[in-house]
Amino acid sequence: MSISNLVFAAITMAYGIMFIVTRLQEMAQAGSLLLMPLIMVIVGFAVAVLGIKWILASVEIFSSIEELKSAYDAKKGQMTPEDSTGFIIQMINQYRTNKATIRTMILVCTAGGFCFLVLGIMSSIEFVSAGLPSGMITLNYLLIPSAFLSLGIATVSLLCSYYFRRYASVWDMRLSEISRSENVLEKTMEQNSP
Amino acid sequence: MSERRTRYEIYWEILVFCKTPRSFTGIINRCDLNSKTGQEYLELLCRKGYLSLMKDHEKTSYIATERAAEYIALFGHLYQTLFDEIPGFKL
Repeated sequence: MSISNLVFAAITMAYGIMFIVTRLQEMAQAGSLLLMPLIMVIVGFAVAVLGIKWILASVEIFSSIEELKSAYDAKKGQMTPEDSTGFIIQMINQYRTNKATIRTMILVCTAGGFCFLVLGIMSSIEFVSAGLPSGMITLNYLLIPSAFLSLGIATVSLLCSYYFRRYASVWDMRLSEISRSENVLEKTMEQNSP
Repeated sequence: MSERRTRYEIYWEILVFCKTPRSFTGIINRCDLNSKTGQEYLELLCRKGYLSLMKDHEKTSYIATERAAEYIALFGHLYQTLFDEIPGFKL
């Protein structure tokens, strides 16, 4: 999942750059500043920035998880209950720190997934374009790779969003359990006060 | 550790660290607290009877009491039950 998330982010960035380059070329050939290509350049720039930000956020999240996992593996076998509780606290803090980013990723993955799905469906329809007046069916084979790519990216991004959602729901459940535990701890501390 | 810990998590960290006598500086460094909040936490834990002060000549240190062991055990139990198995790291 982590690799597919990074791949999706990289493809998003590449798409953005592709938009910028092709539209700039168009404008250079036309020799004037055209409104539509200019808008596409701006959109492409935003998509490229989103891709870069996404890669950085993913790397940050995954490296912090990896760091904790290494520390956990190093202690495996000789772990005291306190070490174990300490790791749980660190994991919870990690989730608290990354919660906002993960939420954004869920939204972006879902939105991006649907955009690519629409793009993929449109390319697929274009691939089999029906010539209604003549009754002939034309197959545009050049659109096959683009349709497959879009549908593939859509699948990966929707899967990413699904797994992120599952991950977040498990941790949110744990956080709500922690709030309940806090009540127990508070009561215990009050009862035990000298 | 980040500042996103709850105060109960910080209490736990302080109490576990103070199983052996610890200085104020040692505690705030280890538990990543500033001196003001560190002082507040330590005062509260002393007031509640979870920490006691030890004075050796001019050195003052904090040590966890028996009551702290109860808190640590309860906290550990509550947090461990959040996970059915050992901590998992898979996303």
